[in-house]
Amino acid sequence: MNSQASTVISRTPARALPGDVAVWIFIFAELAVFGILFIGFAVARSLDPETFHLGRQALHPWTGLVNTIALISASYLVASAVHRLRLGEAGSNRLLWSAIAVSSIYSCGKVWEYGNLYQQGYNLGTDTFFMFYFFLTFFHFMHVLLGQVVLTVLAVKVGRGDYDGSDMNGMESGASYWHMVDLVWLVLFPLVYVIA
Amino acid sequence: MMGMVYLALMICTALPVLALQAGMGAELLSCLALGLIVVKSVLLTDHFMEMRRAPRAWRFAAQAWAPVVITVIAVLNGAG
Repeated sequence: MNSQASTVISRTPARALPGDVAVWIFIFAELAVFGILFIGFAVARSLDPETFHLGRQALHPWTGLVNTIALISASYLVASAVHRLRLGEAGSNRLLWSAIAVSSIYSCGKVWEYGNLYQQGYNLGTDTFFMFYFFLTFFHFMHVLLGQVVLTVLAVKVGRGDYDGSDMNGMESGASYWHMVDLVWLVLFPLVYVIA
Repeated sequence: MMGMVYLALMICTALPVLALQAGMGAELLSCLALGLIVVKSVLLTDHFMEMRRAPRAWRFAAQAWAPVVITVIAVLNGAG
């Protein structure tokens, strides 16, 4: 009976955090900061809904949609790269470079959007909506750029053979950071572009 | 499995924008967008972040972030 019980226990996969605990503490700190900023945006909107309604009309929801597709696609590629590396399959490196390329669509889209709005006369000082819009999206954009640096480091290390699937800590930590950037955008996009 | 999650995330992303273009009412659109954020965040944290294999407390914390933020926003949206 005891041997049967121990067999069952040993077959149950142990629950483990993907990546380093320190990275996860950093991720939760980042999520807390973004959460407070989002709530600040919602409070400001509830105080002045007309300004926020007019401001949202100046944005292009399709740009936001393309950016979202780019970030989700990059996350999918990163998750697939982690999966392949863990199984010892080839192609992890290629997937990571693809994720960086796909996420660059977001970066280009954001730069285009800022340029377009600036040409129309919108900036941080236009009104409360654009103050929040530029601050929130630029703060997130900086995280995307840092995420792209992290993915580049991972791709180079996987390419050099530093990560071979035996120790997934570094790969999982970097991937988790990237997914956090994506998770934040999943809230930011509808909050700024869609919800009236 | 990962491909199915990706497809579901894409559909959940496109729906609010299509609804916006179709001229859906503001209140209904807000409810749809906020509800889909919760679905997408759970899919992302569980499958892409691989939190379904994490200790329960960590998994709960990761999954709860978006619903908590969305709930506060929804309350403020309703109050506004």
